[in-house]
Amino acid sequence: MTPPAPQTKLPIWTVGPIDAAWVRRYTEASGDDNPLHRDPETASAAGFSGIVVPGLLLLGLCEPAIRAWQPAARVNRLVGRFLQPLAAPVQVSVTGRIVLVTSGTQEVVVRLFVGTPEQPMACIAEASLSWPEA
Amino acid sequence: LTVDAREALALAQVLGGGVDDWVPIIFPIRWLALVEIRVALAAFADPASTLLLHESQSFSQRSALRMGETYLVTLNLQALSGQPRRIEMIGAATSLAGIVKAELRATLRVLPRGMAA
Repeated sequence: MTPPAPQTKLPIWTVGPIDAAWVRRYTEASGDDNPLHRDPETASAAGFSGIVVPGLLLLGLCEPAIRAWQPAARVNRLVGRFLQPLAAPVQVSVTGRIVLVTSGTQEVVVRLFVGTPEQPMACIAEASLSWPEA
Repeated sequence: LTVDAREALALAQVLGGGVDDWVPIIFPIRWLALVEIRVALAAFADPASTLLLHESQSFSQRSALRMGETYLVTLNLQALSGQPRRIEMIGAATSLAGIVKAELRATLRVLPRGMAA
């Protein structure tokens, strides 16, 4: 399979609203017991308006967004920086585009943004994809 | 450590990726919940007085982790210099044949409890 061309955009992948119940399902599935993600009082005392949506949940949403767009691709690397903590409930979108195609290896790099209209860069991520040999 | 199928499916479902047999690339975070790792982290940041906030995280894998397979997982922690306080975590999952299958790296910011982020 031929990888998509540079600058190709991912279809916007909208998720949510991510509410307290969703965050709880995530924290249970991931084993994350950080009270910032579970306890509104702790989150409030730390300066947040509600429980904090785990950054790794935001980063993790990139993989299904990629899988929905390119089902045959494999995610080899996923890197994220968490710039703007989001408080639940919140609806987020995953957007992105291909920034690099490595000729010969069929590997592409996708720059991704996870956030809201007000906080569009809650998570900036980069994913490396490859396609299995035919 | 083993990739538990129920744990992998639960994580895949909450990420919204549909119900099939994929193991999310972020699955190794599940291992960070182990008591041994919590104890090691507590030596760097006392959970009674601090909170940890992820600043960055990376995952890479040579091939997808497989449900039911067992890996040797190693994790190195170090305090980074400077303020605010940060902890760097570098880990790897190696097959029983000695091949590194997956790696992770994280930077955690240490927040005093009750202080605005």
